[in-house]
Amino acid sequence: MAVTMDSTVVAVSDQVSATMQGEAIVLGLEKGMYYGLDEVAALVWSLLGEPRPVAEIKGRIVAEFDVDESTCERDLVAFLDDMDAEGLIEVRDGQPD
Amino acid sequence: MSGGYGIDVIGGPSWPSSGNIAIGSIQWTEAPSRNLPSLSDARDGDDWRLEYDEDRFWVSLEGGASYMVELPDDGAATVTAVLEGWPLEKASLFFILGLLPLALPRFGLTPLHGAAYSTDGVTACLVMGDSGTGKSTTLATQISRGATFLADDACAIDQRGSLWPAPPYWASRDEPSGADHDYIGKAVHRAERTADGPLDVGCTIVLRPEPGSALGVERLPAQESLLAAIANQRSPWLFTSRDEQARRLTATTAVAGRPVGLARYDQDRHEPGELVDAIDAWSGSLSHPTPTSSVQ
Repeated sequence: MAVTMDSTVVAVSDQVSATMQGEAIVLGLEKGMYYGLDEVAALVWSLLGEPRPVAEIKGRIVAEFDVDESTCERDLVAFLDDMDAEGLIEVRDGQPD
Repeated sequence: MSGGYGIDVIGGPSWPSSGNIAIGSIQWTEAPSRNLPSLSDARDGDDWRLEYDEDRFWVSLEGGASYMVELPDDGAATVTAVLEGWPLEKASLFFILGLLPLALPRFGLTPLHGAAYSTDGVTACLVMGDSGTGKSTTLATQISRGATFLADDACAIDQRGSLWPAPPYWASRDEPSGADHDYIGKAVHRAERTADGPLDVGCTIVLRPEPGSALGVERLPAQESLLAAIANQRSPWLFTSRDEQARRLTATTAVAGRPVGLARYDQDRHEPGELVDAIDAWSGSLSHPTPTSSVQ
């Protein structure tokens, strides 16, 4: 399912992750692959422990980093699509239950 | 027989104690013939076969001993050895140095591929790098300068990032004399100085020889430090439950949260002593802020 600003996203349980000095590493257990996340991506990842509206995540990034809304929206959706393709997140329609 | 890495091996031949505080034990028994079950996964080497599942593994060496290691969750671990003509001491040494590291995760310890020593008796320095990059040479050079031996080949790391010393025997291509036994072609003898218990890892060195490289050590940024430590997890394909993976990542992150230095040098131009001088200068310049890391 493609990610939109109306989606809700959550990390899958089949992974473990570590954060260190603001950055993060995620190990996807199904593929046995490690993924390195920079500071912005690590912030996104830290929010995905529970179902989270994409729009809320965008709001957090815009509040904490020097980025305009349209650029943030484009990059965030692309990032979440990549995470979905790697099996690291689950994408749902609409708001969390 | 006493093991290492904080694990006692009970019931085997008598080996000098490492003096470690044991956090678990394995009962050693001998059997007259092979009776190895077929397990779900397997690996093959030139002259050995390893089969494993989540609770046990066995190793059979062509023309030599076989070992069945059972690791139930209740901690009542056992190893059954079939010697097949091998001297008992050789078979037990091969078990301690070659097979015991595979069991470390079931005792809450993460095996990292590398060598380790201590220059102050309080903290450990890990030395990582690909095969042939000089880990054992660096260790031997540090030992010759008075450092305490902690580990060669397998470093056992707990959840706090502390290193549990290896067995009192070690194997090194670079040690010229004093060999008591032979272990897969390496001279093995008892180290003159070993530690009695776990030591916090103070820093890690990743060796990277490159032709034409200047000699120097530079600190790696956080994510590269973590990836370097992850790349040196030993046997990550064994015991792959989510809990085990999380434990390994916690231990590895704890190590990578301390300073990690990339040591560049030219193996043709720089002597081991020069490399060790550069490592000591770098590690001596470090401050040790509280690491900020977590695993979810």
